[in-house]
Amino acid sequence: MQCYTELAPPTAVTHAVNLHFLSPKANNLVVAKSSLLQIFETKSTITEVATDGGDAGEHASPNLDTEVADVPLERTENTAKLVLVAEYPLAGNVLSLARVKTLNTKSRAESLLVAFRDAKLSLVEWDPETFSLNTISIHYYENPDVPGAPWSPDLKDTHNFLTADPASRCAALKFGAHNLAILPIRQHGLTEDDFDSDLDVEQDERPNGVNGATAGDTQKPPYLPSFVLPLTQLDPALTHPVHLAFLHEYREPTFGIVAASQATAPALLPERKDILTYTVFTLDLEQKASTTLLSVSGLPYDISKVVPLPRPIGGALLLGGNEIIHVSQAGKAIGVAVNEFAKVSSAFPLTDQSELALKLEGCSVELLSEETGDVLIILDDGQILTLTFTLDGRIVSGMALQPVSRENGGHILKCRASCLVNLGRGRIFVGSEDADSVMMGWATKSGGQYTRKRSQDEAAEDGDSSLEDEDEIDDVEDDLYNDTAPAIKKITAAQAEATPLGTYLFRIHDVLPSIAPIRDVIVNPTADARRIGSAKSPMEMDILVSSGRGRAGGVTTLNRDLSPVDLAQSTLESARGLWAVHARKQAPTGLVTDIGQDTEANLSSDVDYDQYMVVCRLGPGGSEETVVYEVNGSEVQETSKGELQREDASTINIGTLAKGTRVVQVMSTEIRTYDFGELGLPNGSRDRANFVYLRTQHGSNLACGG
Amino acid sequence: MDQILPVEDEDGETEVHIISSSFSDPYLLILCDDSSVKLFQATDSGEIEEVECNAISSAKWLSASLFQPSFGSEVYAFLLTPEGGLQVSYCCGMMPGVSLMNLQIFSLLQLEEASYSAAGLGFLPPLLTEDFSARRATGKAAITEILAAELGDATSKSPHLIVRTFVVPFIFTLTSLQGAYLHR
Repeated sequence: MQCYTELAPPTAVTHAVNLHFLSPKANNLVVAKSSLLQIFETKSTITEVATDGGDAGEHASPNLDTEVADVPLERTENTAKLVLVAEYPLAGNVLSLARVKTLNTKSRAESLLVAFRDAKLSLVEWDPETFSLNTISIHYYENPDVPGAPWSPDLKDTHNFLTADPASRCAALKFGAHNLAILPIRQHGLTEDDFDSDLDVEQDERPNGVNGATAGDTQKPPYLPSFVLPLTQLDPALTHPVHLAFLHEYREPTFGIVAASQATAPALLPERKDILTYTVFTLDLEQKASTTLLSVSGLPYDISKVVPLPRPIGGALLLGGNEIIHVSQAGKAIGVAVNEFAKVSSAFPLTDQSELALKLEGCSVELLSEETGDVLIILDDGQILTLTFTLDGRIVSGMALQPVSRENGGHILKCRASCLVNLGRGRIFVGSEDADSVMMGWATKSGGQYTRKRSQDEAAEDGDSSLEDEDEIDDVEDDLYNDTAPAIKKITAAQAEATPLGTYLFRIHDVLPSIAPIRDVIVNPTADARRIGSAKSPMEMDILVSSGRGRAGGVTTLNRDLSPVDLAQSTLESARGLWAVHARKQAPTGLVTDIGQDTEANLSSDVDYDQYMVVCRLGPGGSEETVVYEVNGSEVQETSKGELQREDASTINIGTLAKGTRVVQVMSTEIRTYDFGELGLPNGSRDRANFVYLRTQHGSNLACGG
Repeated sequence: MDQILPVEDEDGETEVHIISSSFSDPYLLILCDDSSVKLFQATDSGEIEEVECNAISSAKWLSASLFQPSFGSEVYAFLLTPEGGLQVSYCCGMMPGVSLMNLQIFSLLQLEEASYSAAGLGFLPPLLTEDFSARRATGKAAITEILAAELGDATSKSPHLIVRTFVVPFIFTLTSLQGAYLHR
């Protein structure tokens, strides 16, 4: 039995996926932090560009033809922020997340497929009416009754993962030693048996909802019955699969798998050298049959991941610890070795870039730019690289790895990424289990000027327009022969060569703080003498944890409560209520009295602000009275200025009306209004300090500055 | 310049005390101890005038709050009837209470009719919608005060309704005028 309470929720991001979840046009990022699921929206704000030493002194004079040369040029840029919409603690650890497009969801948007440890799937959608997640179905593949071989590993020990077809025709969960659970997703009128019924349902849907037109739809789940396919049925040699993923741009669901008939082992390199084979299979879901499309053998022993690439490059990237290999749709394989060990451990033909001396273990890969097909790689220590391809027509003839320099933001990440998601429009979310997760933005630099990846219109419609790759996926379904000749011609003409070094700039937009991994914890008494101590616990304890790894390592303090720091304290006895009055002088007669809306006028220097504090307290005679104090900086002084009702006045509330020019004193039997001028002082304090007033139980007041 | 606005009962006989007030420039809403509500509006010249509204003044209310969302220029009045419902009127007004404790929301521009009315706020359901039927005999929480405000930071804010009971406050997040859901 375990009895515990959670002190802090999980903060390490383990998985993330980008999809239209809340509505068909919303651009949502769903983040899984082990057992916590969070749904974010992105929002664009305008911030000033942080000027570094090199840019200081940039003036407006080169751009403006005026004599005013001393105006410093301030550049503003669009910064994206992540806004949390909802979060749900899940009853289990998330293994993988995948985005699927299903029919007839409540929000008319996409659904999320969540794989849990050890082999469970859950299909969820967003319900806009109840503003919460709705589980469509749960699929369970952990069957303890099926007797496996006594030496086969337990489900919890095998590498289980989920992969979904980019065109959402099916999803596959690899679990166990070599089992694949395939969940076909119902398509719009695609399968023959459902063709007629789909037609009827569609006809009912559109005219009216009288007879419950969606009744037929809701009875049909958005998926077809799933089945478990042992990989050895596809090919008896697939007894030790390493990784698989569904590929882009195929008419039928097609996946590429890296496997061998024996386990790879670095210690057995002399015996088992280059035994891995990459095979591409096409699945026919109705017939439950498969076809082998191509096969590449002799891959190096350390290939651990298959990353499918969309247009214009296509095919898949095979990642290893010492090399990266690209296999095109036609089956042509080219590779690049990034350190000296690649040549030693493998005989596979590779281009030599071993002067880079990189370690690709623990790296994450994601498509960077849809136009050029460049790929972003983040290494184990957080270094950013780009992988660029040289195209010869539609054929990939070469690849090159380019580290991003420090000036271009190549070292802004502190630790490796656990997940990389391209959010479109020049933004990438980097989730990390060892450091803060960040949302990075990238831009291309061409001709010395910074060109925006997005146009200004796009910045205005943040979250409204659909992703570009959505169009690509739709095109795959509609296009009969995958004939994208016009688009490819444009690409080959412009992008036949590899992207030059130093083209990309990276910048951090937003951060999701993380205190993971926590390696050690100590409990520490509060050391700050300025803290407002409470009578109950004279010794307050904080928790100190060591968090982060590598360059992101540090010490984090976890406090139980908010601890305001006492800046100044003054005692006002028997005070019952306290209000701050912030009134503005009415515009002089003759001027247009639109001062409330005119923000420029509000900011002008001759708009006077006064700082008064009105306190209602129990007076000496036993009746309540009101006292006015003037606030100067952190000093509070009683003043007799102003004609507020003081004697025998029990003030309920004080506020301002008429755009801040009238002060209203609400008392228990009447309401009085005062003009600003009557409060007395023509020149008030111009400092607009922010104060927080606290009233303790014994009636004394504390002012804390902010 | 200086105005004194007396607060009296309609007959002018009994003295009425103000319990609470809520400001939202240019409106002022006060709640008196006889459960009536008065609405005042500041004109351009700086004078405060009472706004007549039968829907509001004829009903009894337990708590009232003015609210101006940052996304719109209209001011809303959130009114709570004594039996426990919440009525939101566009106008600062309150809607005449029905038998259940109602939340009614009035838009200040349309004081005659509530823009939104949700019964059963007293039950504090997880999702507050306009058509609420008390299914279970769950105890009604004694609501003492409601407050509508926007919570958030510089990047994003959203309107919330804070409901105060004797034990613990509950916060509802308003998604739209059709429904609100409860967040604790």
